[in-house]
Amino acid sequence: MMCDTVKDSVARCHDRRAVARERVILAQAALSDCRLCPQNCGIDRLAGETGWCRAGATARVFCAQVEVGEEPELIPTFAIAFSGCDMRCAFCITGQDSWNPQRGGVFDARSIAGKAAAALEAGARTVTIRGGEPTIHLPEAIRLVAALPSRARLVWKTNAYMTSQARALLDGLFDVWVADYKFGNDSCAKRLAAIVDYQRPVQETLLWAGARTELIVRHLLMPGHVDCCWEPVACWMARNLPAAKISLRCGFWPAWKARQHPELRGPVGAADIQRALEIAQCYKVQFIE
Amino acid sequence: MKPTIHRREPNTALMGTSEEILILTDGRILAHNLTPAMAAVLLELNPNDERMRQRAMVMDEESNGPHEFRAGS
Repeated sequence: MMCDTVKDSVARCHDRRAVARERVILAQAALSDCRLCPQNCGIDRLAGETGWCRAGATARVFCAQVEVGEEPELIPTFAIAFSGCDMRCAFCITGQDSWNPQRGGVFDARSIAGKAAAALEAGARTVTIRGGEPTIHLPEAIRLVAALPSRARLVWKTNAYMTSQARALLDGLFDVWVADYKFGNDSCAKRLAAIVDYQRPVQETLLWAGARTELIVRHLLMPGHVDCCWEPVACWMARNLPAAKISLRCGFWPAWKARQHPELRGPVGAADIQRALEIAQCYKVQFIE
Repeated sequence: MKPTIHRREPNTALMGTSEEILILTDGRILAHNLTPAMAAVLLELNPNDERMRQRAMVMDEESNGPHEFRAGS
């Protein structure tokens, strides 16, 4: 006889797939007046128009493989990376693929779901959907959720730069949200990622996700941005989401167009890391590892 | 000296496999899109790295495609 917890879990997973099948229709319709990200382009992607992110109606994938570089509680994970993004981070480590939604192969939900199922069978603990930014390909991402095995523990890896419409379409579909909080102020976001209004939508997303699901907030420590970016992030997290898990990533490297910015021409130094840890201690930040 | 990025380009026939490592001049190695196979390689370089040992875990060969292998095999 199944215990209640297992029965609840099974029921939830079956519900999730059913909900996902319905949401695909809504998400597809949303492309005709695309406002999935705060750029609010309002263009008809189904008619071939493209906006800020340059994504059309067809989603492409540039990476689908088992990975072990994520937070320990998530690995090994079968990670699927959609091409294209709604941000333009100069230091993006997958810049070629993330800035160009035409990169990679055409996404096929059934094929990818089959690979994910094989990986789960072989010992993967989670399935991670990421990008680029998967939010701009919401219909196909949700189609994948509907096709994945019901037992799969699903991770939504996002830059958190999305609208309430996108969040509503994602509600209840993922077990864990891994969300970036990259910049501690709008000025750095504008200069390094070409985003004018960064803080508001990202903070809204973090609060929303923190209230609904398991949330891991990532901050990539950038050289020279400890006081302007990490400190405000740590402060805001301590005040608004004290229970959320924080993953401070110190592995910055000067990828893509990072060298256009003088302070981003090298890795994070020991002094920056030490200062970041002092800030974390000051705000009583609880790191995930 | 500029750091060197070693990149395995995505193979779209496999719907993509991609991983990168960056070897810094001070000897540190940074990894991105770390696969079990690469974790096993990095563990060989530093067998005392317990965190890397946890990541170099065994996965079924077929699920990972031909670029992957069983760590420790």
